Amino acid sequence: MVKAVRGTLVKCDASIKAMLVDIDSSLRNEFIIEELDEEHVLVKETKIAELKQRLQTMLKERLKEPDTSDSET
Amino acid sequence: MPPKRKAQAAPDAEGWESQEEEALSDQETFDKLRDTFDVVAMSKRARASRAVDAASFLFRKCDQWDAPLKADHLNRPLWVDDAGRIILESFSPIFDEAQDFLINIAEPQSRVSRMHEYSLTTHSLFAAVSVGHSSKEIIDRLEKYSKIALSPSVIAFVEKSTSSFGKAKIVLKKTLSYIESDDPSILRKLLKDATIAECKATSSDGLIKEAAPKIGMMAIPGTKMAAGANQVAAQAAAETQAPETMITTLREEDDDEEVAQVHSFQIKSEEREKVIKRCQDMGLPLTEEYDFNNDEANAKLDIDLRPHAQIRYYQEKALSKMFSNSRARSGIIVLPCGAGKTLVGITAACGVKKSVIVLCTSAMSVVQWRAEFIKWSNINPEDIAVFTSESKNRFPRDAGIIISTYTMITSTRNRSYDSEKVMDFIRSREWGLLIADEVHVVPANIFKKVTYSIASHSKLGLTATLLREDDKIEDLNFLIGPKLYEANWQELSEQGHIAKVQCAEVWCQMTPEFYSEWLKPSSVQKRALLSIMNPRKFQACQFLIDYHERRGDKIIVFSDNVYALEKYARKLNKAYIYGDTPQAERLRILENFQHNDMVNTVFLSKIGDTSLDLPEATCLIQISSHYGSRRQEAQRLGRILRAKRRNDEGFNAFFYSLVSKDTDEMYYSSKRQAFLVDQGYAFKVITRLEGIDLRSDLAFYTPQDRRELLMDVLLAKDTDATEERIAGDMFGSRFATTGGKGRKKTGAKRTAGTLSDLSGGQDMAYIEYNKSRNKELKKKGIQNGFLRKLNRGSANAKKASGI
Amino acid sequence: MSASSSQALEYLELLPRQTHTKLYEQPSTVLAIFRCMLPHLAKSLVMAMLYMPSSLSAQDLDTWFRPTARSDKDKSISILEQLHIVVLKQDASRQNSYELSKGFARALRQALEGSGSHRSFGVPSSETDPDKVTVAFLDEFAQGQWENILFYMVGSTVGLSSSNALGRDVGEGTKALLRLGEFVKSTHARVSITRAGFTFVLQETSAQVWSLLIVYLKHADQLGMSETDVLSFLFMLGSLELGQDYTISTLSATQLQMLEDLYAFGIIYRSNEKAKTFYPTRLAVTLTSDAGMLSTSSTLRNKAISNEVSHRSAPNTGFIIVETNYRLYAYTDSLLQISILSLFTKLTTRFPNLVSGKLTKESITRAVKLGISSAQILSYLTSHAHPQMQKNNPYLPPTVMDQIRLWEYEGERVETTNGFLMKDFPSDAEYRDLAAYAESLGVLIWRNDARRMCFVDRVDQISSYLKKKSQK
Repeated sequence: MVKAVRGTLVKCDASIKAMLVDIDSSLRNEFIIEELDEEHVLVKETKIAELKQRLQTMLKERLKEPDTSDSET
Repeated sequence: MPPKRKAQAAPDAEGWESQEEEALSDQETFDKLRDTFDVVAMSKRARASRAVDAASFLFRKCDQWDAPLKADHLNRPLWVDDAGRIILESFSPIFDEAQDFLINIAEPQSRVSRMHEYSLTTHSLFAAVSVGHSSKEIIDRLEKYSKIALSPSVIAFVEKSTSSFGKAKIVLKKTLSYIESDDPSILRKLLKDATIAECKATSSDGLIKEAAPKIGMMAIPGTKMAAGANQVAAQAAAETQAPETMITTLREEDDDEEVAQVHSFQIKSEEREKVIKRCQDMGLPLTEEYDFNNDEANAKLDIDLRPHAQIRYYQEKALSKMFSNSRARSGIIVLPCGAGKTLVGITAACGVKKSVIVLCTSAMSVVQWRAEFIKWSNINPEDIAVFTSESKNRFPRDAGIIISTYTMITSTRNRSYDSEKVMDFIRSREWGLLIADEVHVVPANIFKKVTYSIASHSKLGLTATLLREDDKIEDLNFLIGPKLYEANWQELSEQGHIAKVQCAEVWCQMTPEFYSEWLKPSSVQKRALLSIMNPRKFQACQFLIDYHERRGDKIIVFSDNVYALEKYARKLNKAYIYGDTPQAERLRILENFQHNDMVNTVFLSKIGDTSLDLPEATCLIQISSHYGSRRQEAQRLGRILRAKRRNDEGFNAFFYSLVSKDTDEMYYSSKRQAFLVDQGYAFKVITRLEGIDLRSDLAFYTPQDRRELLMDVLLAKDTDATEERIAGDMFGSRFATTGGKGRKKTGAKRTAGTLSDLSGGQDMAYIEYNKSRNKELKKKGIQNGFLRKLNRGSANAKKASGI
Repeated sequence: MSASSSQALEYLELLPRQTHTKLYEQPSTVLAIFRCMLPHLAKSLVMAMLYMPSSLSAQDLDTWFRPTARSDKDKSISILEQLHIVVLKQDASRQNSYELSKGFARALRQALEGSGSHRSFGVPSSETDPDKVTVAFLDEFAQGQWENILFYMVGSTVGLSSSNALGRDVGEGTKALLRLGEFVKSTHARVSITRAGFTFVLQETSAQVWSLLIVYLKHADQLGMSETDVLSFLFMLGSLELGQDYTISTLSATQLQMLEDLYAFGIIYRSNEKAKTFYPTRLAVTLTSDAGMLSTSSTLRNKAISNEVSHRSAPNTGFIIVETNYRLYAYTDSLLQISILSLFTKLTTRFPNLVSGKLTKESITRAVKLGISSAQILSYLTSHAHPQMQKNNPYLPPTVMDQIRLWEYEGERVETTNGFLMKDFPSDAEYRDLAAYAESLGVLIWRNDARRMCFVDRVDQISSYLKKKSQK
């Protein structure tokens, strides 16, 4: 029987998807309903805001950002 | 850093490690000097006195909105801020004139296209004074060009810097050292100092007074002026020759005054170093100049440029700054790779005409320097000696040239008998000129050792990028001399002296498997390796190689990481060279690359960063690199700037930097580009290579292949090969911007290892690109630890038997 | 028709017939609409019909056009109908014909002939104003008032408000209006610009004025004003003469109430609140034409800097240089321009006639977070490109443009859509059938044929489709 699962479709780079999966698995799989392919995951609608927030934190932690100070000094 | 690494370092490099850790005895002196002229503090003070408005807080660096704007500001080309930063309009009608002036007095910061930026620094002003600009002249001309009234803080800065620098000179006359000055009161002040008074030679009493030599009499060989005079020190020639060929025409007004007097006193030659240090302490650093015309003690070297050697205008500008005053002035000349640094060095040698010692970074460039000397000058090849681990000659006559590496000269321990004899020869005599090639890579304390153990009258540093991620560059100002000239890359490329280059940064998505591994907690090295071995990056590399080979390009692929270098090259069946590739094999591969139509791509480790002269190369692909090293980026770009085809209609060389998305490579990549971007190179970001999706024949196309590759990479992390070589770089770049905790320690060791790579004094396995050799290589990779020990043993044996 | 009045036209088109009828009582309004809002072809049609004794049959009208121009004709007629200027009639024999609306035709004739006693073109003051002001004074006043508003929007965002009396020159009414129009939003007493606000700031002055006035019009009812009176007054202002003072005695209650607001916008000037006259400024007289516009926002200057300086740095030519190393140099001393630049640039150094800084990932990302798009930044940099930059095509270095777009994209790493994942299809045929149906509805977001799954953003029609199928 055809099922319709309510949720939020997240489209992102493969690397970001890896991060989302990583966050999800470290937090008792509270976010992701289903991994769809390399660049898509289905996330609980109620959890999407928190997931985005956690992703931003992770990006900040894991990826070096250019210096805010000026390069020329 | 495992202890075994130490033993692996090449024999002649041994001495370096201990030196690295030795505290720099001059460090305090340097620091003291820097403090006195702290521009930042100065501009802060100036800022405090400025008015503030609503937007002031936006301009953290400098806010001079209320500075008086001159009524005719539209006709003036530049602004100067309180901290001595200068913004110059390149579209101003008097741009050329202003640029010529600024390059004399300030450090170029960025020269892109419409707006150029310069910075007044104590060193740049030091250089200005040593070339003969007076403090008043600098201020007057800046005032003339500036749209706004010069701020008192800038004027004070110029005055302060120029009044303390260049007022007294240390001069070698008849091999004796003199302290010389136009102003006897400065000498008296120096002599009041107990330390300096002690060093004064007893043979002289009081100050010696004589007529100052005339300025601008030196004809640079190979220039228009020399064509008429064809002789150095053509005193009379200057009056009749066109003065505009000389930079010193700027000072014409001064020449009208009555004959200037100079005063001097002699110091004990053996106390030279002490005096120089003391004067630095007193805030009166000494300039070093060599009056080679009147040096009768040292034999003349029979050397002249061959008639076909044509000196380009910028080479002439650079050299005229070195030679104005009919003396040789020590300093550094900065020219992009491929712009003819070697010819500048050779011309300088032809100017001085005394014994010359040339120091390079690798045995390979020793060979190239020798060939260039023979190509461009009429020197008798017998008079050029080579001092490397493989060859230890001396020249037969009284004067000659020795070409060697920094490693050979500075290593102290484990020197073979032959080496020691050559070193004695080098130490025991006076040299007219010391040419220091790629001077930016030499750590200050190493270079100090060079300058103290080689008695040279003048020193010329050559480099493409006076850049280091640490601040050790400053020290070169004291050890060699100020930067005399820095060429404008864009200008040279527009004029066809160096190739035009299209730069691109290719973003490669990480595959999910690789990225999941990357996310796991693991060592920095392992993560770096995952980024480099990212299958999408591999495919991009393969795609670009295919594309450019079809276009008829000759391609160099750079990888700092030797594991990746081997993997890539073997998978793609290409030739590769790295630190352990023996000299003969390197030459053979390079020769094939240059002349064989079937060999169009070569993979190089960081040993290819400098000094490799491959004018056939027209395309560079960089797959792994050393953190955020701006210098390495510039050096690598330099490999294609001299492309033979550069003057073909519409020719472009290509420079690709492949970075794995969402890894540290992205961050480092933008840092690396900073210098080139300020030279006007624009990096295009490519997020998708057109047509790559259509290729099913690329490596690691199937998930299966990618998983296998991942397994390989994960296993590889435990072998020595990756660990030890992953981030090695020349000399001090361990300071490179990682903000790294504890990196310093390992870095020092890594440096030692790398140095040996550079000098070419190598042991280790034999590698070639053909298949059978590659199989052998693979075996070696696996048994790595054992084989290395074995090789080390044989190397040590070799060393012991006397290299 | 000018670009700036196109939004006024859009607004007008949406008004109901009664309002139109009321508006068309004023010859000045009718003339303004005729002159400035209508496309050329529509104007010709109106002129042709103005003195026609009877209605114009649709067939006759068609003969005026080549068949290829049919769509132009339709467009013009549609605008005229929407504005209730032209009415379509059907006679007993079911023949279609067009006719000008009575009110419009009458008012337009009056305007053209100068007939009637409507006083809708304003009544110049009969007494000589002892405090008569010059056109230059009016220009300076208008510019000052208007730029204060822009500066308030941008400056507060940038954070200038803390440092001086920014926004003190902007009335509370104006501030409220900016919030109503969603040009700014205030959170915790801190005002920041919105995407719409940034678009607003980037427009030509006359377009900005209309944008604000339309917000004003939309909220006229709440303020107890008659929308028609407001519109009539605005159209009347457009017909006045710069430098002349006009009596307020002929104005309606609404219009008298407007005077204060229009003064705050810099559209009219009054010497004091009790003055019997008002002066239209350049902002007023250019409402219905683009000729002789006030220079675009770039001249809010430091009072401390001499006038001489201000005049020399020509405000209307481009003043921004962007280099391939992301450095930005702007020849300006305008606090407004500096504030705008600082929204997306890391500024470092300021001289009396130049500011310099750098476009960085951080500065662009910050701007994007404020709701400013990379496209807006690029359009601003392009439209103010220094003449030296204009020698290139495109004006801006392509690598810089790409990078700015990439920075915007990089700030937002995920794209999300709420909806439903459809899965567990019993057969491939059923999966394909539904996916195709979803696609035809335009609700299909993603599909994976191998896994027989798809994602839709609306499910109601899909489920009823499925139900229908299962019933069969």
